Amino acid sequence: MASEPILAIEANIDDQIVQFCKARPGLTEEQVVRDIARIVCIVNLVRNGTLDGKNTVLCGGMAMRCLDSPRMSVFDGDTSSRREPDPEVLRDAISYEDEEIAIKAGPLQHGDELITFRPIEYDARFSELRGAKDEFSLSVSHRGVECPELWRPLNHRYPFPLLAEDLEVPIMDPDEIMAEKIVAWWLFGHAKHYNDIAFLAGRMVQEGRRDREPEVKTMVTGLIEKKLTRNRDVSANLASRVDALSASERRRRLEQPEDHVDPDQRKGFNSLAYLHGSRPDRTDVDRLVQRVVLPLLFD
Amino acid sequence: MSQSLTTRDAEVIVGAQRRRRNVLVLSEDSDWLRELHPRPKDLLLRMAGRGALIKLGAGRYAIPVLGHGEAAYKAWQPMLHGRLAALGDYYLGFFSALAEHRLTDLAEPFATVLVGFGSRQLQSGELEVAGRQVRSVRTRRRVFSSELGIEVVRLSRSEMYMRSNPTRTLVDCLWHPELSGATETWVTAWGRGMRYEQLDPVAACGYALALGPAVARRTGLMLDLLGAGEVARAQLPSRVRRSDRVTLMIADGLPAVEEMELDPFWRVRLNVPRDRIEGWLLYGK
Repeated sequence: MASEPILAIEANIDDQIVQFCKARPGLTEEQVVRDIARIVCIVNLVRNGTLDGKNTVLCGGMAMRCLDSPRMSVFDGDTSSRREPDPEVLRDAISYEDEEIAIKAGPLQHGDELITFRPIEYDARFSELRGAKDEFSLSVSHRGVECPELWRPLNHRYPFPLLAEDLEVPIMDPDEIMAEKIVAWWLFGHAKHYNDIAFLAGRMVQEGRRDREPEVKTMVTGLIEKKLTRNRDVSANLASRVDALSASERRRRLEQPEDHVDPDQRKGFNSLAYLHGSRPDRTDVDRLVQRVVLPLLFD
Repeated sequence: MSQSLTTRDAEVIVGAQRRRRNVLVLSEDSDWLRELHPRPKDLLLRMAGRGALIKLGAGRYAIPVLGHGEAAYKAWQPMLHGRLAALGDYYLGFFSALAEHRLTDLAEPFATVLVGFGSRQLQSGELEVAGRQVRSVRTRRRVFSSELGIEVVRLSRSEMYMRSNPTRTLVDCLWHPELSGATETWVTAWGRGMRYEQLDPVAACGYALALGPAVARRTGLMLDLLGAGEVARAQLPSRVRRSDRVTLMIADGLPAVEEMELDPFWRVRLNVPRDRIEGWLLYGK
């Protein structure tokens, strides 16, 4: 059993979750309970030194949330590591138990420089809601982290008390996240990547038009090339996709996003979960990519 | 909803539990309910008003978790079962099953089902169970058996529902993509299924044959793209490819035009470019 509980929730947490979901028709109670379990898992990994910033950082949807993105992933958690982790050490580090919740890492799968624990089972003892006993997954990519980590408050964004203490977590540098998202968009073409690119572009604008600074342009384009090279090294399939990316094709995929997702229905852009607020307006998303990302990469 | 139970409410719930009933059905439970109240319909309606039962519609009421009148405390799938099973064959499939089998990292607050019966309420999209809109397609094919990948999911002694297994769920996406989320979502799920060994290529071919030659050809092409083309060629008889008609890869996608690539072996017109499908399949590897 852990010495200091991670959660500090109120007795009526279930009512609070139910009320929270009622105000957000796209969200379900199961998603919120699972999200809380994933947050506990991350806090535990920070506390026990696994998510230390020096070697391992949070990336993906949870890192984006720490940058105030409203988008949430509902099942997978992503981390990135500079070195290949010891899976058994990692398994012990993930597992956690206190009075409120028990988390246990299950089998792991090896991918290309990627380890995924799937499922990680949890028993959210604090809740009687459906989904109180369920599972999620956690991946550790060891394809490299290029920039120093950024420590950010773990922004769970729930309006009710949740964590016993405020905590900062190490996330991948936002410029490096942007480089990863752009590469993922080019190579795989999922709407979530495009939305995240636009979100990070908006953040650059808010930070005094960082996108116009020459050194930022140089850094982002340099990071993109490094990420492409890493992908090329991972597998022959990825190498051929990287090699097929001409400069004009890279530009086209950002300029004509529908053509790169669902050319007919654009359903991909409308199937993402949002924890806070509503889905971003597609016009705004496109405008950010056109006005910030394209000049950043191609001018 | 706050819950208040009268003595008679408790008698109804205990009576249902003795009979291993998770959902009360007015037409089936009236006899013993009449021993407690002369008008069972009124009794159940009033109980639902007090949060002692959850109204599912069509004379069906689910028994909530004690102390919690909200449907949120109770698994919604058995309530769906209680609402649909009496009408005929059904199973939870498509996007809902993709999410349940963790083949996607997305979630939607609706339920997607295949039904083997007609229902105006279902067809109109007006049916809601436990706060979830139910989206459905109807089939007259006999494709609801365990041999074709439909499993019983038991949550407790009295709670169950029907669901497609991972392989059948993936094959169904090629049959009715309109219920399976965005194309990128279910194509990515195929890659994920292969990667996590949730997809059984041999079984996929068997299920696909039961769903018709168009689904069989799409399944053959998907398996080809995933490196299991040999299995598909061995399992899917050549007659599925003999039709003069060309099948569209994405059933609800763009209409065929000459410029679209045609897979010469499976005779499938790629109305989403092959490169894009390959990218989605590769994601996460």
